Amino acid sequence: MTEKLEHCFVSLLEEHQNILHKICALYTEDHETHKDLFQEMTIQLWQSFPKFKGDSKFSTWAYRVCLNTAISLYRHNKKNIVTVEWDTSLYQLRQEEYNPEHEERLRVLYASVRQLNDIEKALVYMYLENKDYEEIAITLGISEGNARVRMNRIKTKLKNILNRQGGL
Amino acid sequence: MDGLDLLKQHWNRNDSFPKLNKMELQQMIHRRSSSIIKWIFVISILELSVGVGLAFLLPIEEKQTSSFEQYTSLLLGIIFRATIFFFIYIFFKHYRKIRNNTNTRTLLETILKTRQAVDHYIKFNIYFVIAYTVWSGLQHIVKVFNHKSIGEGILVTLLVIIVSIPIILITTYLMKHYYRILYRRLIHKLHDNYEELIRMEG
Repeated sequence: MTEKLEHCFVSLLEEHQNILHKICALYTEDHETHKDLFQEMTIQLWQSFPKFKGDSKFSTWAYRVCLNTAISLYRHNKKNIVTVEWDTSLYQLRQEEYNPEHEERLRVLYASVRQLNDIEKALVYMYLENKDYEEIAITLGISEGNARVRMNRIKTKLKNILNRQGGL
Repeated sequence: MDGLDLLKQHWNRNDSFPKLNKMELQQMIHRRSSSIIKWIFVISILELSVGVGLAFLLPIEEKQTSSFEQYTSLLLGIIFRATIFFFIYIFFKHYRKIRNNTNTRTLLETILKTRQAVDHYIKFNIYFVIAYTVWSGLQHIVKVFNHKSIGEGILVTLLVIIVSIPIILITTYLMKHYYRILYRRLIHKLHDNYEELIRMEG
């Protein structure tokens, strides 16, 4: 039974792993921490998978658990990072495909988003994923109006950071 | 076009992340979690054990000279043990409610409540030990005044004050320092994120 559940979970996770990578891209700054947070998210997802009833899509359930992990459960400890090694050659190859100007603009944007606090990063993630304000509000446990107001403030905040850095 | 909209354009076609295969993912799910919850649980259980240890170490009934002292001692023993078990019940009640798939605010609230139960429990233990020390000191002073000379009574009173005040001050200082370090390392991030959500709603 556990084997079947494990197989089902791993297959779903393999298909939707970009959700985890994208959240890691916002919440971490280096490759090792990215891997560490990815691993912790995977463990958290697996631990609560038996309670996943399928009321929502796996992707919706997964990004909520992963955001909660990044905001509330993840304890960053560089000294103790022991992660499963994975092949990064594909990652490096794809990065090299960017043209330098394009890459620089993205780098400045990611760096600006990383300066936001954990809650603001969650709002940015859901905005980038085209989630509506109702879903953003439900995920964070705030009102829809306040989610909207905060998102507008984040846009202004980012614009200011970008202007200060002379980017875009 | 603002920065976010520009990022959005690239976000959804970003496929530059590494693709982990099933075997790599399977290895990961069997790794040990290093989540804050795990640490809160371990530290809390250790702290709760101290109180339980004290509950067994402190005598529930001693040979007292008067029935008033006997009843007071019995009552204090019962209150101490009952309160300890009440805090343990509250801790587990909140701990069982922690779900990583609830909304972020509820999750943060539940974690902080769980930890708060242990903080209150520790404070109760400290106050109780202080009260118990003061009570025992007073009992001793009264006995000396009743059975010995006034001079000896004053001497014992001074000794009790000189010994107990530094002990109380040092214990309080050490506990405060311990919690400041623990708080900074363990739940500072959670508290900040919770405050941020509350500010958004305010």
